[in-house]
Formats: sequence, C-alpha cells, structure tokens
Amino acid sequence: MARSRSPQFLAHFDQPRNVGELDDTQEGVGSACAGDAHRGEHQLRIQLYVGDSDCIEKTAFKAYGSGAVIASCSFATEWAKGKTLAQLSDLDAVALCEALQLEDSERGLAVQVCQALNRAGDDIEQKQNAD
Amino acid sequence: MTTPIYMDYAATTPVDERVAERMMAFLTREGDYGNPASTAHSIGWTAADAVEQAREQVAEAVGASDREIIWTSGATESNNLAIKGAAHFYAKRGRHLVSCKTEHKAVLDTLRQLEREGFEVTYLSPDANGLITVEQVADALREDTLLLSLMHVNNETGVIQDIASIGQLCRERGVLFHVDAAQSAGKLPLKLDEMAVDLMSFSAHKLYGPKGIGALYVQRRPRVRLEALIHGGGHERGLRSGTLPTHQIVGMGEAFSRAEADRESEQQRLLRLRERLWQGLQDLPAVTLNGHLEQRVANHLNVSFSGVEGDSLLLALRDVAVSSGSACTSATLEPSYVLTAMGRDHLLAHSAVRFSLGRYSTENEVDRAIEIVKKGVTHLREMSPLWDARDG
Repeated sequence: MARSRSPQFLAHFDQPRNVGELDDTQEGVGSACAGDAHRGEHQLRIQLYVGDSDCIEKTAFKAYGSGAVIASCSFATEWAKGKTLAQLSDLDAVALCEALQLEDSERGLAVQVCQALNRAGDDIEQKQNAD
Repeated sequence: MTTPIYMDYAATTPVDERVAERMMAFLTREGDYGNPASTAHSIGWTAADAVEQAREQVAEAVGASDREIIWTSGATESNNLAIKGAAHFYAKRGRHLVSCKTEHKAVLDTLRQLEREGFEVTYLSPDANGLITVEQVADALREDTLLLSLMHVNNETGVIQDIASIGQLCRERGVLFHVDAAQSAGKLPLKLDEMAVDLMSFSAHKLYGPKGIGALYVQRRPRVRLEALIHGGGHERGLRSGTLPTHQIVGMGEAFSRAEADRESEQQRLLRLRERLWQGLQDLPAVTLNGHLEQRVANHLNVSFSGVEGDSLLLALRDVAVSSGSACTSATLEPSYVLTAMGRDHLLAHSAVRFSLGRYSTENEVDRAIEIVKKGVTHLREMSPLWDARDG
C-alpha cells in the first residue's frame, strides 16, 4: 500500500461517486469492462448514459482492485458528467494521475480507466449507429 | 483510543520500557559502555559480564545451555548462518536440503543462494491448513539430505508445525534440523534440551526487545558444526565475528526473560482477545479463516474477505495497523505466496488480512477494529463486481 495519499485521492476512495449499475439494455447506455480478477488483474466496469441533450447525464462504475483503481473510476465517472462523447478523450492518464496524485507505477491503471471510459462512449455510438 | 490501532505484533513489537531502561545503562559514558572483547580492564569485563548474563537469560527462556547461544543481528542472519553454515560445513556429507514453500523469505532466499551454488532443495507443499506432516518429510528425506529447515510458527498464518515429531524423524535419519522460531519464542514453550532440534533461530524484536539483535541456538550434544559467514576477530567462538552490541544483547536477554515469565498468562489473555475478534468478524458473510483453527499461536488471525482486494482493503482499514501478504504492482495483483502454497485460490489469497495481537492489545481495541473492518469490507463489496457475481 502506498505510504500516503492525496486528499483528492482519499475523498474519491472513501466516498466514491457513481458506484452502481445502469441498465445496459436502456437506450443511450454504453458499457465497457477492463481486466479480469481471475487472472490476477484489476477488474472494472464503467457505464455512461447520454440523454436527449447529447451530453453524459449519468455514469456508474464497479471496481475490484487497488485503492488507485477505485479512486480513478470514481474521479473519471464524475469528470465525465456533462461532457459530450467527443470530449471523453480529453481525460488522459496524465491528467488523471495529476488529479489524484497517483504514483508513477499506477500510470498503467490510469490508462486502463481512461480507455474504459472512452470505450463506454464508443459503445453508445455503436448502438446509436446500429439503430 | 489512539489510531491506528496496532494489530501487527507479528511484524514487530514496541520495546518494553523496562528493556529500554536496561539497554540505556550500556550506552553512555555514565553507563557500562565497554567493549565486551576488551579483556585488559574492568570496563570491558563489566560489559562482558552483561553479555554473558543475557546469554544465560535467553538460554534459560528456551531451555538451552548458555554455551549453545550465538548472538547475531536477527533471525535473518541466524537463518543464513544455520543453513549456509551447515550446508558448507557438511557439503561432503550430502548436497540435498528440504524445506517448505511457506517459509519466511529469510529461509527461502538463503536456500535459493545454495541452489545457485549447486545444492539441491526440495520444497514441501503444506496442506490446506498450512501443515506439513511427518510422512511428507519422511518421503522427502534422501541418503544425501543434510538438513531440513522448517519454521515453528508461520509468520502469515500463525500455524504451528509439529517440530517434535519431525525433529525425531530427522534424528533417526541422521539429518540436521533447523527451526526458525522467530514467531514462536515467547509464545510457545521451548525446551531445547528435550527437543530434537539442532539449530534454532531467534529474534528479539518480536517479543518486546530491540530490533537488530537475534540469536542462533547451536546444539552442543551431539555437536553441530557450522562454517562462519562473517570473519574478523573470532567472536562467538569463531561463528560470528564482530564487536558485540552490549546494549542490544542485554535488551534481548531482558526481553526473553520477561516474555517467558509472563508467557502462559499472556497467551491465555491473547487467546480470549483473538476469539473475540474472530467472533466479531464472522458477523460479515463470506469470511474465511486461513490456517488451522486450533494448531495456531494465540495472537494470530489470518482472514480472507471474499470479493475485496488486499491493497484497497488495507487502505479502507487504515485506522487499524494490519498486514497483507499480497503485493500490488502496476497492473497485476500478486497474492500471498504462503496462502497460494496452501491451495487458497488467488482471489481469496488477495483478500487476506493478518491480525496479530500483543501485550498492549485491549478488548476496546478489538471491538473498535471489528467495527472498522465491517464498515470497510462492506464499503468495498458494494462496488465490487466480484461480490455482485457471487450474489447473482
């Protein structure tokens, strides 16, 4: 366990935002998973919901793994609210690491969370295009 | 109540105030600061007398003769000296050693070094409770086996190995028996004059003594020979050169003496506290005890909480100082090698927490720790996809 954590990190870890689940069959909901705990990896799922405004109105996540994964999912899903799908790529691992003051060794986790956020957005677009 | 609540006594213990006071008497100009090896004046003699008195205290606490106690810097050095020292001295007798996969790294890494030197090592797998049987050892011993190294009490699980029976087997087969007793001294009765053990490692800081000092029991009858690791002066009968740290040594002597005097009543008290802790934790669903329920030291509890991961669990429990055998790297989670060797699946091994109680643990601390654990585990399970999958 890391020796010390930033107040921002602990705020997201102790009181994570957006823990839960959205109905994946509902129109406008997109989901993305990453990692497999059964293979010794972190495991997470991020979900987004875009309503009529074309902006992300609701988000949700579930995560198994280190404190950094949980805090990162909480931060990313909170950050995404009100953004358009095109804006999701604005949050990269560098920004996430800076925001939570993650350790250098946790850069990979931050990449994983950012990619999951973007893939959840892609999932919404693919479903919309399929319609 | 101050936080974090210390429940990591298996990692280390605070120095007993009376021990610290005794140590202080051997440091400053006003005290007995002499070099025990200075044989030409009384300042040295006083220090030497203190060292020998401490040697007697340690020997008495473990049922050995004072001539069988060699000072070292701690259990890691004792393990190195015992294993490498015996292997190098008796290399012509055989080049095979036996140990267990759940040993401390101080033993495992020492054995790895011997493997690099051409020795062969068999690592036994414990059963699901963490125990090694006499039959397993019997099957592993060969004509060319020179030493078996087995810890008395496992540092992660607190499980006690049957060293009496295993030692007897080693005697019958002419194999040296080394026991790492870092976690058992002061907790279990040790009567080395009645035990079939040739070499035993001790540490002071696990029982309210200072860090940086330990001892190795080297049996005299039948005599066990070792090749020294450190040369330069021939201290400790040539087995461990270097100026003796008098203050550390008197601290270890005092700590061992006091721990042995209080051992039985203290272990009873710790057993009651541990049972209170275990009862409280079982209010949570899907809680698994790691290691044998009965065959364990009184102060130890190792528990897995399904659906949560060790690093985040320790963070959630940061008001309780506990430890986990897991290691978290950037992308993957490494579970405890001890629990993995016992056959625990990776997910349960990841969620393991070791609670180790000690002299200053109280009922109030245990009750508060139970509350913190329940809150933390529930918090993490609410966001765990693995916990959802279990429910669903």
